[in-house]
Amino acid sequence: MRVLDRKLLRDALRLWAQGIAIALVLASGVGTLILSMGVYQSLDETLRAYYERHRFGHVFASATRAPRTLLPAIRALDGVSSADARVSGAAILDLPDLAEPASAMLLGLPDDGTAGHAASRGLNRVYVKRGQLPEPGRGNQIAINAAFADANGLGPGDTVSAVVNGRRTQLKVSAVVLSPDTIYAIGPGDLIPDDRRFGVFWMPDSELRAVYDLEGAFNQLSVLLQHGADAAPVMEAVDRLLKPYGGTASYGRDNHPSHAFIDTELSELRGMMVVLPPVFLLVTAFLVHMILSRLIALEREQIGLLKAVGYGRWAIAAHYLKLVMIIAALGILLGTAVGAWLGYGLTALYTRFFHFPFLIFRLSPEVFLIATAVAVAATAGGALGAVLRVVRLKPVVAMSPPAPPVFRRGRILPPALAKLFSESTVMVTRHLLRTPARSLLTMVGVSFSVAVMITSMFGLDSVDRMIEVTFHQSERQHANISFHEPNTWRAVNAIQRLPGVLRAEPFRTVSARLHHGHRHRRVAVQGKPDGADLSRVLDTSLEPVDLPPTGIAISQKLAEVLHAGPGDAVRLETLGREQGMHDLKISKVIQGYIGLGAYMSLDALNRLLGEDRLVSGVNLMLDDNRLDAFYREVKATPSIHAISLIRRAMHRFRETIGENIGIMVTTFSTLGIVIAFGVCYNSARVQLSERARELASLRVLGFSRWEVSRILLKEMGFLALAGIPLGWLVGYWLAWLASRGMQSELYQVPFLVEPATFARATVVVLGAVILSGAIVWRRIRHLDLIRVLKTRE
Amino acid sequence: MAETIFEVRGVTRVYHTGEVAVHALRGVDLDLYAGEMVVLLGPSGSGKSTLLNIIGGLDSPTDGDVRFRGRSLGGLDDGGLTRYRRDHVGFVFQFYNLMPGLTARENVALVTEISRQPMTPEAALAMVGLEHRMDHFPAQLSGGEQQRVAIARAIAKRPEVLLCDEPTGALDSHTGVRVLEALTRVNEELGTCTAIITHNVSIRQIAHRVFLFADGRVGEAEVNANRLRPDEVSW
Repeated sequence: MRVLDRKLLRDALRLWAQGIAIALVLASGVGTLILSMGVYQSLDETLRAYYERHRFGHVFASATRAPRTLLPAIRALDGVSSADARVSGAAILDLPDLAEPASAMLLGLPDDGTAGHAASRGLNRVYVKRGQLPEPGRGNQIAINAAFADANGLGPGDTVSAVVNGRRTQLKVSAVVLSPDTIYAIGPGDLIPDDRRFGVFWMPDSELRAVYDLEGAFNQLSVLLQHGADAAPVMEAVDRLLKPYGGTASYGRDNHPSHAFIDTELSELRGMMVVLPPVFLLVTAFLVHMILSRLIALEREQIGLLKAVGYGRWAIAAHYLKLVMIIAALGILLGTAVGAWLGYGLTALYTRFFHFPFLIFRLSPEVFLIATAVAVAATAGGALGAVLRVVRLKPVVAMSPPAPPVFRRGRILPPALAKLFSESTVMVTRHLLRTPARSLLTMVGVSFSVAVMITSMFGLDSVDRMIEVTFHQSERQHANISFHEPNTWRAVNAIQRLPGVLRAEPFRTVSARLHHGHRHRRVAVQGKPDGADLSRVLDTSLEPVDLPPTGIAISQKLAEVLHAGPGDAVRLETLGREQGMHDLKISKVIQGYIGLGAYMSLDALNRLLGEDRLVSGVNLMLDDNRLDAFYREVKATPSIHAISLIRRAMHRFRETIGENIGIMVTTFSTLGIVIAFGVCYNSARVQLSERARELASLRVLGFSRWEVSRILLKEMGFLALAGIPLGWLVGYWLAWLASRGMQSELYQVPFLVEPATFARATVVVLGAVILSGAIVWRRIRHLDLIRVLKTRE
Repeated sequence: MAETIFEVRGVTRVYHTGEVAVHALRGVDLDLYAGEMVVLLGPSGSGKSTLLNIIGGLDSPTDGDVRFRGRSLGGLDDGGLTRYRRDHVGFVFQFYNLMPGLTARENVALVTEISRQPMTPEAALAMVGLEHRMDHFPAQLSGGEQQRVAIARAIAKRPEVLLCDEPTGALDSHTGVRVLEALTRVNEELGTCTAIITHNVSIRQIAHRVFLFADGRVGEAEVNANRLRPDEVSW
């Protein structure tokens, strides 16, 4: 080994603590990058391949009853590669060891017997995990989705008792399958998948047609576009074709319930990718700059000597670059290992919610190369300034001692002001102000650690607020029941009489498209009775309000995308069964965090549709003590099309979030600690190195260890205390940016950072500061006075 | 007549520190010959070190020219000066300037690794009588031993010129003599042109020629008719 490299190794070993502190910060950057990019890539590639192989549609539409003879016309549309129609329905299930009713979505399988084969021309093709796909005429055979099968211990040969279109029937499981349109399968009213209570069942389409009396017809359409074709004209044409048959507006993948959730996850990974790694890389660059500058200042004469004996300037520059590259290598290795480990973990977590034939975390060479490249760039970037100083240093200058630092009286801290403070405070202040860039960057570094934690954890506060407002103030019903077809008040009364029902409030839902000028959106208009108490509409200050007798109230997000406000005239195009065009005025803009909400008074909606007191379903408040009796009755009531157990959904959501809070808080607190410790420890070590002579002189003059330590600790404490409030601000701002990024038409996440989040970040960072203070204090205690004073600085 | 290694002609060096211009050298002329040992004598600030730095390629004159074997150093860029120092010059400094993180042997190897025809670090250390201290770090060596390591490091590349800036300045008389013995031995055995800066008048007696510096100027060379051996010198 070359002698210079031997020096390098010894330097690296001597600086191990600082090096590791920096490597940890870098590893956090590399790790979060590998995690987010790796998982993003794995998920994205798997998704693409799965969609491609299993022919997931691009455009989807529903109708009440459209003839299959429309299909050739749809397939012939410009830009359409293929189109496939099927019947879909819903079933209430009675599972033996589950008190509550479960439900299932029923989907038709192509009747040509090719449903599961690679050769099938069908869209949204299923992937058979176990068993044989059901065939027509075998008697109530079904394929069930794997998540439901696993959660309920079902497999080929088992039977499930169900109420399908009002008829109780026994369904025989013949296969366990997956499909690209149910990667994320969420039941009605659920917030996250509840695989125990919600399943997707596939039956031969001919049998479903018979069940729903849809011979020669379909109610669900999927269209596959040609490569590069524009979806909009196809959607318009499909809407035109389906309109006479109760077609509801078509929608693209972005609004497909399964795809939209995965897409949200992908954008969150993208968000993580652009926010977290840069913070860590910036801090790394700063730390490398700080310690390398100090090292080079200390080794000035050695650099001069190397130049004097004939080492070229770039050879010496390379020597110092190699030193920081050791840190980079350590950071990259550690970061890659941790990132990959977290990547496997996160991917495994995804497989609980997203169901693919296979989804494995794959650390691709390009992700590794990108992470390595940015890590090396950040480290080298941080080293650049110091290394250039090495290059420029003239040997003859290097070998003479540096000029003493210039402190000018009054320039940095005016004497009149200085008199007010103790000598040590004056020393601290002068020193901080003498290296303003470093002081500022240290402060900013501390603020980043606070900010990273706030940005990473505010989401919990926001989700909590969303749940609080949505389920405690607005949608307060325990459950809701919907009918297959709009029903009369008699049905409401029947439900009211079910055991355990304390209160029942009807609602009406109509699919529609709301137009304002040239802008329009698909909405489900909800009609609510006057004085509704279970499902309330809140105004923007979250106060419950009554819906005016005329006009339509829309949620803030809908108002925003339509560019409409109170008093504006809008056109409501009702779809499906109740087709028509209606001119309305916007009566109110109201609060709503989920979806695009549009609300009318129940009477006004019925009047608008020219119908008399029809309802789509009922919101219920239930007696907790009589739930079993209620569930039993629901399972036995054929007119009930679907039931959402909203309370249960909320609790499940809370539980899942609760399970993840621990992991999130631990992960992000660790990242916060890594930054705070890295910054404070390194900054204090550099201070100690620069000021060892000064501090030792004070000891010789009779200052106690504690008095001397206090000078350094005061500096560190001051920078940390100034950095923390700055971190609150930066964190708040980054969190605000992140929450903007999370807004979609599916969710509007309220922006909220609770004081507890600020407090948690502060406590963790203070802990890291105190820890680095304690380590530095130990070093000051063991300061070798004689040796330090003998050192020529 | 020995070959002329250095021709210094009209060399001036002005430093600007803030608004003050310091004239370190004011038109110095001198020649150095192969194999000779010269002493540059003068008080602090008289320009000795500045001249040595310029001859050694560490610094450049503001005016005037230095020729090494007929080639002007003024025409060399940073890379050229680096090669010149690497191939031809050995330095010994007052404060030894050893790398604290390297052992005696490694400090010497630092130079032998980049030289064309070096002796082994072991041979160089043996020449200065340190063959038994090769694996010690600088902090484990006395001042005199450290300076001898520095000499071993300077001569290991077999330089044509050895420039020593106050090599005994930080040492007591007895240790200083050991260092001077090492320098004399190198001068005699390797024939290296050796220039020693000192403000210690006693040391002039070991040189072939002595240059007296004062206020940035140099007088005529004095030739020592009766050179003394280092062990005959004391201060």
